Amino acid sequence: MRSAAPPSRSERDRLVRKLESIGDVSADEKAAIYELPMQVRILADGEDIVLEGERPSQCGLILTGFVCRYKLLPEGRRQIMSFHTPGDFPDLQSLHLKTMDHSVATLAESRLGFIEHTYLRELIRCFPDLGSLLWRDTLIDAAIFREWMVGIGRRSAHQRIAHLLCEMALRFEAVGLTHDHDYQFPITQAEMGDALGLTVVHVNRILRSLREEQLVISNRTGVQILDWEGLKALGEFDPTYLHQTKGTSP
Amino acid sequence: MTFTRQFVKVDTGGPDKEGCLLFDSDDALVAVLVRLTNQHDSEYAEKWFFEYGFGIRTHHGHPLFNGIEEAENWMASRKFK
Repeated sequence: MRSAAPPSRSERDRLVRKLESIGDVSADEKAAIYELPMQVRILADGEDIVLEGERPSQCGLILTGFVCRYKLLPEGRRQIMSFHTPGDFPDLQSLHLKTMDHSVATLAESRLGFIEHTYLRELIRCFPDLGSLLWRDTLIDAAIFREWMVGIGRRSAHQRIAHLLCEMALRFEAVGLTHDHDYQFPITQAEMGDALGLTVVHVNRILRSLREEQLVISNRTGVQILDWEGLKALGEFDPTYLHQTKGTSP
Repeated sequence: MTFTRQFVKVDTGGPDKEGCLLFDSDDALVAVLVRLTNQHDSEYAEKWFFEYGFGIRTHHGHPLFNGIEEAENWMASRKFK
């Protein structure tokens, strides 16, 4: 982890776009976000941002890169519980829940803007509607967890992968990081398996099968959705749980 | 513990089709092994993959083995009973 130059306007704009995808943001609120003091650090691929048991005094806003929440079990088994794009605050809960009950790490080289809790509290005090929007964001987080729980418990391996690739398309689109149906998705098949409760061997088989069926091409560099409707149907993907108020289809 | 082997074809949803069932001394099915093709990365290709196990109480993961005998030895050390 090393310090880096302050965030560019376009990097801060990811947060604005993210919030605008789930609600309204006034001109004053945008101005306050653009002024929010943050310490930027660059983290390597696979670096921990905050660990289970720690009591952070700041939240990390993802400016570039890709991040996950995870828990580590005995013998090194890992369950990834969520993925996070630029514009997300994966540890926003630390503002109210003092001790981390899980860890947060990068899955690609990432730039994060660390914001002291005091600044975030002041922002929410001055702009209560922004506070409500951040609350809404954490509620949507919970909705995503519910959907993932259904997937891990009740969907087939093909459906889990199809559902995840549809979800990430809409989440990347919300922050302006898709082009047509394509997006950068820098995770390994092992990481996808750790998120979906599948073995790396089976993830490899299914990605191959989805490619052969002309539904989606997915590799370490990115995802190219060839048949959006077909992938949605396979994954039983209904985007309601993302509660996006704008742009619900890539 | 000795195991009985039965070679079968398995539909894994992918190119890996060569399978081996392992039965324990009570003739109960305890493991499904699948030989991985070279369409997987080199660290996986040609290995025997522990696709599914029965009767193991603790988490066992999905290890890879160089041969079926290696898988049987591993099973014998973990089988619950």
